[in-house]
Amino acid sequence: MTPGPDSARRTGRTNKQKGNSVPLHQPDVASDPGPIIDVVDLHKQFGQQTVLDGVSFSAHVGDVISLIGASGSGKSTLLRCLNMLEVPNRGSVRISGEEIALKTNHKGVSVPADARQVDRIRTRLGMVFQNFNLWPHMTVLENLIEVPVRVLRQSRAEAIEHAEALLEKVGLANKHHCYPSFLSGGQQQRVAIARALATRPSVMLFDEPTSALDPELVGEVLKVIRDLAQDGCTMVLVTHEMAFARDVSSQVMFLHKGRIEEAGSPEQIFVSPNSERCRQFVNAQHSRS
Amino acid sequence: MHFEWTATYGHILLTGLLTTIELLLFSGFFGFLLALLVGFGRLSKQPLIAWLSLSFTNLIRGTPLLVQIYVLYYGVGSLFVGFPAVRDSFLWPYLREGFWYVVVALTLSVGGYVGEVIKGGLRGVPKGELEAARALGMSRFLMIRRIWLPRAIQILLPSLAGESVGLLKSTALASTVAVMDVLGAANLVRAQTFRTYEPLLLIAVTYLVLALLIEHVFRRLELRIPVRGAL
Repeated sequence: MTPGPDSARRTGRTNKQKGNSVPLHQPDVASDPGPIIDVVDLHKQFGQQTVLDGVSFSAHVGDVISLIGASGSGKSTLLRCLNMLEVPNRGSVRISGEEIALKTNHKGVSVPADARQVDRIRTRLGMVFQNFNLWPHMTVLENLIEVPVRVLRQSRAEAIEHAEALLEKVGLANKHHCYPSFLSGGQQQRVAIARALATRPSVMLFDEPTSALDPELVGEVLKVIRDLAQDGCTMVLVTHEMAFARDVSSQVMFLHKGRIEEAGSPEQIFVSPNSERCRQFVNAQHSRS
Repeated sequence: MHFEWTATYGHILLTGLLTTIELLLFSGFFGFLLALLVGFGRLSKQPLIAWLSLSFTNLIRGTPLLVQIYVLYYGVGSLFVGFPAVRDSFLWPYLREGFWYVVVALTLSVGGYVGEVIKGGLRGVPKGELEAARALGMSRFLMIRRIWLPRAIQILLPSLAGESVGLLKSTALASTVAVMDVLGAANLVRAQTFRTYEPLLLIAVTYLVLALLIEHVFRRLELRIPVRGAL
């Protein structure tokens, strides 16, 4: 296990808080080697359509898991079920050992039982979207400190200090007072990554982070994600960038019709997949690029 | 053209100006709060709330403002007179004045018209921005307060400027229920000096200046957040 930003986070916080007894969000991963993400038998339907049909997997500290598959295979939905942007109809999601409680409402729809639990868990899951989704009425810096200050109740000074460091990391230190609409797509996505990191999450979730970018801007975003992976950041990544997935992942999962058709090391998936469908998909992606 | 009457009646006009501005600010403030309720109500998933908001909007937008003012002032106002409890209460000095009836009527009017505008603005905010707020851990309330509403207002500033100028001009109806606003003051001058055009021209310019001032304030607000592609 690589020492991830998790451990950095703990030491960082301890230094700053100087023995403050505020409990940390997560259990100590060093003494609890259980998975950060543990998904069991996830089912999700949209109307009549089954999008997830019994998915189980888990992710440990330092894992980089890529979800690949054709459009409609359920990979984005699976990612969105991890932080309850989509609520699964059946199955369970555990984050750092804590199960997200679900209940069935009066219409028979599955909903989170405790909205505050979900909000709390979400601050540990940094999410990056296809369309960046920065808040255009705030500067880059304000985008980054919003959740740390308003949700995590950090002091403004502390949040700004961390934000500046993150902007430095994604190569945008000079843009902190810009409004998002003045940035290129690649820059906006890098800000979005920094914003997701600002809560010091234990896992980063990427939902096709380069799909909305012009081809010449893809590289700068992938570089940032690659750097994170090398720092030991735990992440789950939905992507169509096969070469990148092969390069950074510790594990690749191929989804087909809402099921994990095959999962394994990048070598297994991309070089010698067992499943015929997986082989076809990977080859088709190969010949395209 | 003669303006020597301004020496005698100037203070009445100034008091009128103050009343007009008070009407504008009170009904603008309360009306905006009501409009927020109506705007969110229109988008509510609760059928009853959505229906109530829509009915309110239809009622307000479907009837003339002047009729609404009359209904409140002559209808509700004269009902109050019949109740000794109301007449003796500390509120009576206010309930006797046309001013507060006009404020209520204008507030309702702003609630109806601007509520519909706000609904449109709320719908115009890209869903992804709201989803990002929730995904990063904001509660629904915080998301509304920090992202959804500010973004909707940002989008709507030009429309809100227009609505505010509209409200300014609507305040002139106050003079029909004996409120001494700018127009009321001008009418008084007209009646006492038999000068028709000068007072009316003077207050027309007054309204124009106020309208330009409102536009200017909104323009400043718009420029606070630079947007690429905009002037």
